[in-house]
Amino acid sequence: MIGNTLLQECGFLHNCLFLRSDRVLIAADVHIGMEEELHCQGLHFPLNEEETLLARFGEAIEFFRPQRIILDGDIMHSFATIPRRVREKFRRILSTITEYAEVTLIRGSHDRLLPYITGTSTAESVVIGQWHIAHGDRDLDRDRSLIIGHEHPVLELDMAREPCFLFGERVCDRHDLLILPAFNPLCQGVVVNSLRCGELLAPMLRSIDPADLQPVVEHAGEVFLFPPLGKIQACSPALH
Amino acid sequence: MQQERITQAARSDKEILQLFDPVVREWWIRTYGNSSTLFTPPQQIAVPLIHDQRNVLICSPTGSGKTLSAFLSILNHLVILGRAGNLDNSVYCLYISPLKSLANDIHRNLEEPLAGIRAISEELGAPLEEIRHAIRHGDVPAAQKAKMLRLTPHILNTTPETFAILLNSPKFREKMRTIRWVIVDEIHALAGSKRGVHLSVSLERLQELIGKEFVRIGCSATIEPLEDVGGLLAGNGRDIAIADTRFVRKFDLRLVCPVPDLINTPHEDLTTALYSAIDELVWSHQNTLIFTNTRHGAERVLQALRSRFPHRYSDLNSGCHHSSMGKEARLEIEDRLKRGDVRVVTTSTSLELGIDMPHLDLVIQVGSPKSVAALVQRIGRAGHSLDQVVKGRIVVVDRDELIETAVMLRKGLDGFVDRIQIPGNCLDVLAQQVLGMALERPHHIDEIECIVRRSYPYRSLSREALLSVLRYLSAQHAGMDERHLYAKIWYDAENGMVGKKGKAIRAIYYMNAGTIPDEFVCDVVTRDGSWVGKLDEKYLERMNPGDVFVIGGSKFRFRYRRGGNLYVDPTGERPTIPSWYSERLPLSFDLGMQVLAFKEETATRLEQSGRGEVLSHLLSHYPVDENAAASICEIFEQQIRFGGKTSIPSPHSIVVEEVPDAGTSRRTYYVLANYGLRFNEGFSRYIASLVAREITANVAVAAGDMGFILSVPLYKRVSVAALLARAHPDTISAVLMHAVENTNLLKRVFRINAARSFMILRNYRGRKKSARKQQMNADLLISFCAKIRDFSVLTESYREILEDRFEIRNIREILARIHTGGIRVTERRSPTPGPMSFGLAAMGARDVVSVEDRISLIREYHRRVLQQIGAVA
Repeated sequence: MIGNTLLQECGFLHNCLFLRSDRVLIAADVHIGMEEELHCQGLHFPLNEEETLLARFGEAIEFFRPQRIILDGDIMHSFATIPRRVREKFRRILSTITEYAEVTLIRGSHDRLLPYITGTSTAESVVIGQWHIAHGDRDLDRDRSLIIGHEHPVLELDMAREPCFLFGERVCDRHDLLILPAFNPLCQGVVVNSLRCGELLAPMLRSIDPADLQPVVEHAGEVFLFPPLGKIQACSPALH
Repeated sequence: MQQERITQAARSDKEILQLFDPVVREWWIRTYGNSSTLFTPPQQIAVPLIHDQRNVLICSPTGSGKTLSAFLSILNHLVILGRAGNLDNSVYCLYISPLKSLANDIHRNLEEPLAGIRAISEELGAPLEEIRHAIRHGDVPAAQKAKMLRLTPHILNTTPETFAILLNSPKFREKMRTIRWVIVDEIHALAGSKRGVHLSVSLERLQELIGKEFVRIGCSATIEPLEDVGGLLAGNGRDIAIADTRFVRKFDLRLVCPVPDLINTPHEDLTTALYSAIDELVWSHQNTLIFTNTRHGAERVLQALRSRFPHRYSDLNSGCHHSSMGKEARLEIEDRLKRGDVRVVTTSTSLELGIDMPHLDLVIQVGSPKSVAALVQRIGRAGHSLDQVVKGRIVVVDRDELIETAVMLRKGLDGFVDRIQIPGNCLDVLAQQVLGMALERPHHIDEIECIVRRSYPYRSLSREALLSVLRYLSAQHAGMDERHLYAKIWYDAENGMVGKKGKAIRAIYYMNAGTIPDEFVCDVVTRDGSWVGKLDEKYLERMNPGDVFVIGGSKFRFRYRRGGNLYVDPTGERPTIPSWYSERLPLSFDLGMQVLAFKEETATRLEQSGRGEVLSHLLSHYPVDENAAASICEIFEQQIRFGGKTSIPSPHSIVVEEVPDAGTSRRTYYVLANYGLRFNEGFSRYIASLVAREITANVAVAAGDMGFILSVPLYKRVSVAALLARAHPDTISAVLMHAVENTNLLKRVFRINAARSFMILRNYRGRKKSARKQQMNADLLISFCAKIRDFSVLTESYREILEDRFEIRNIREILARIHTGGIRVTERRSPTPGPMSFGLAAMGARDVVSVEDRISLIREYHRRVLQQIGAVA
C-alpha cells in the first residue's frame, strides 16, 4: 500500500483505525483504569474515563458501522491488582461495544489478568487480509503487513501535540507497518518527531528507522497524512 | 488603620534604658556602653514602641542592630515574668524567618544576650528562671520536635510553612495560645509573593487561637511601599508604626564599564576587560562578594577568575554559593565568609538575605541588579557596622543594562525605591488555609470570611470568590457518586457550616501544605549520550527545538525532550537564547519610566548641546566612570545618526520599528516600550493577539525589559499604532486571557496552583511526585478544568498571570494614556533594526499567540510542512 491509497483503504477517527474492506475497527491501548492509577499517583480530579471511552467508541462505531471490533492490547492498565471499580468499568464498556459487533481482545503487556476477568476469548494476534494485528510487545513473524499499538505515538507540531498514527511503507521486511496511537486520551504519549533507529519499543521494530515513518493525524474528522518524520525534522520551525 | 512613619526617636537613650528591668539594663550598659551610641537608630525607635505593645515594622539596613531592636523589649518582659515565677511551659514569642539558615543564625544570636543576662542575674543575686528558645522547621529531627511538648521553648524560631503546620497540630497548638509577640524577619522577601499572603492568613488564624491581639513586629530591608508591607503584617483595622531608618548608611557606589566603547569592542576583548576589571577590584580589597543575576553566571565568573589568574585565585581563597549547590558546600562557604577566610565569593541571589558577613569590604554586582531594592540589599552586605561606608561597584557590559543601571544608581542615591505589589485574593492559598481551618474544627462560612478578610491581601475578598473555593474543595465539579473521592471538605449551604472530610485529608494536608513550588531540572545530554549539564524549568518553558543555547561555556542546539532529559547536538552557531534568559529578573515598571525620562533628557541634550555637554553632565550627575559615560554617549549618538531623535522612546512616545526580512520570510516589529519585563510580557501578548486577529496568522513574540518583538509572515503587514488606537482599554482582560490560553506560561502557573490547592499532590501514599510529572498531570487537567464554570484553580491561574505577572494595572494605565494622546506610537520602517533595538534583536521569538483553534493549527502546520518540503525538493 502506498501513501495515498492508505487514506482510501483505511478510516481514522478518535485514534481508531478502520479497515474499510473488511469492516474492522481497531483500537489499541485502551488502558482502562488509567484514571484510578492517576488518582493513586496524587491526581485528584474526576477524569470521566468511562464516559469518555464510551463516547469515543460510540462515535467511531456510529461513523464506520464495523462488523468486527478488535481491542489491540493493553486493554487494562493495571497488571497487578485490578480494583473492583475498574473491573466493573471494563465489563460495562465491553458489554456496550459487544452489542454492536463481534469483539476480539488481543493481549498486551498490561493484560496479564485479562483472561481472569472476562469470559470473552483473548488472543495473541489476529490475521485479517494482508494485516497481522498484534499489540507489539512481543516478536512476530514478519510475513505480512503489521498493525500494532504499544508505542503511544504523539506528533509535536509547533507548540502543540497530537496523537498520531505512524505509517511505514514497506519498512518491515518489505511489508507495511501501521502503529496506532493510544485510544485512551489519559495516556501519556511519546513524542516521535526525533526518534532514532532502535528507539521504538516494539522488539521487532528495533532495526526500523522512525525517520521513514509518516505520521497521520486526525482531528474533528479531517485526516492529514504527513511526509516521513525525517523530512519534517529538517524543516525550519515557524519561529525565526 | 493608622500607619505612622517614624524616622526619629521619640525618647532619649536614657529614657529607653529606664524602661528596662535592672538586670537587663545592667547587661546592656556593660555590653554596649562603650559604643558610639548606646542604641542604634532602629533600636531607639522600635524598642519603646514594642514596650508599649504597639505593632512595628522596622525598616533598616544590615548591621544596624535590627535583631535586638525587635527582641529587646521581649527579652526584657520575659525576664520580668521569669523572676516572678510566671514563665509557663509555653510559647510567648514566635520568630518567623523565610530561611531555615536564618532561623539557625538568630538562634545563635539569642544565645549571647540570654547568657549575658543570666550571668548578670546570678551576679546580682537574683537568679532567673531559664528562658528557653528553640528552632523548628522541616530539617529538625522528630525527637527534638517531640521534646518541645515536654520542654516548650518560650521563644520559637520557625519558617512560615512550619508555622502553618503547627497551627494544625493538635497538641502543639495548645502551646501557642500564650504567644504575645510575633516577629517576622526579612519580611521583604515574603511580601511580594504568595508566601507572604499565606503567612498573613496564618497570623489571623493564630489570633483566633489566642483569642486576643498580639504584638506584630516586622523587620525589613529596603522596600516600597512600606505602608503596604505594614498592612500585610498588621492586617486590616490594626495600627502599625513604621520605623524607617533606611538612609542612615552611607554608600560609595560606582558604575564601571570595562571598555570605553562598549558597542564596537569585540566580544573576546570585552570579556578579557571585564575579568581584568573584576580582578583589579577584588585584589585591592580584603573580602569581596560578587553578585551575578544567575547561578550559571556565578559559576562562570569564578571559573574565569581562577583560569585567567591562577596565581591569584584557587579554591583556597575563592568560592561560589548558590541554591543548586549541596547544603554542605553552602554551609562551608558561609562559614568561611563569616570568618573572613576567603578572598572572593561569587553568588547569585542566595546570599542576598540575612547571614552576617562582617569582613566584607566590597560588593561587586555584575550586570544590572534590575531594581533599586536588590541593589541596596546586595551592596548592603558589605560593611558590618553603621558608620562604615558601604562600598559597591557595578560592572556592566550590556548597552541596555548600562543605561538602566546608571539611572538606577542615580535614583537610588536620591532615595527612590521601586515598588512591589502584594498579590491579592489568591484562591489557591485560600483553599489551603480554608482546609487548614476545617481541619481544626468545623467553621461557619461567615467566620471564615471574617478571619480571612482581616488579612491585607484578602481585604476585598468577595463572598462569591470564597464560595468558588468551597465549591472546589467540596468537589462540586465531580459527579455525585464520585464526589467522596475528591472532596476534602463538606459544605452545608443551608446552615453555612464547613468541615473536613475523608480520612486521608489530614495526612494529605501535612505532606503537601506550603506555597513554595517544586521546580524541575532537566539533564542535558548530547544525542550520543554525553552528559552536558543541567537546565532548570524556567529555561525550558521558553525553549523550542532548533534553539541554540549555551551551557557550561559550550553551545548546543536543542533537538527534543524525552523523559527528564533534553537531547542536544553540539553546534558552533550563534545562540538564539541568551544564557541568562531563564533567570531574568525583571526591571520594574517604575524604573522603566525613569529610564524613558533619562532617554528623552539625554537625547535632547545631545541634540542641542553636543557630546561634550552630555559627557560632563553624566560624569557630574551620575556615579559612573568615564568609560561608562563614553559608552552611554556613543549609544545615543549612534541611534540619532540611525533614525534621529524621534527614533528614541520617551515618556510620551513608544517607537515601533518594522523590519522585513526576505531571508527568513518574516516581518518583525521591534516595539521599544521601556516599561520593564513584566509589563512587556503582558503588553506584547496583548498586541500580538490584536495583530493575530487582524491578519489571521499566528504571531511569534518575545519580551524583554526594553521592549518586545512581534514576528509575522513577510506577506502580512499591520499598523501597530492603528490597532492600538482602535482597541478599547476595557477589553484588555478579555484579550489577554485569550492570548494566554494555550501557552506554556498558563500550564506552568496552573500546575503550581493545582499543587497548592491539593489537586495535584506532591506526596501521596508514600510516593513523591517530581515537578515534571506534576506538569504532565497539569497539562492533562487544564482542558478538563476549562469546561467548569468559575473553577477556582483555573480562575486563580489567570488572575496570577494578569495581575501578578503582567501587572495589568500598569498596562491599563499606559493604554489609557495612548488613548488620550498622552503617549504617541511612532512607527518607522527600516531594513535593519536600530542600535537601540540591538538587545531586542538578540532575543529570538519565544512564544506564539495563535489566532484560531486546534484544527487550524494542524492545517496550517501541515500546509507549511508540505510547502517547505516542496521548496527543498
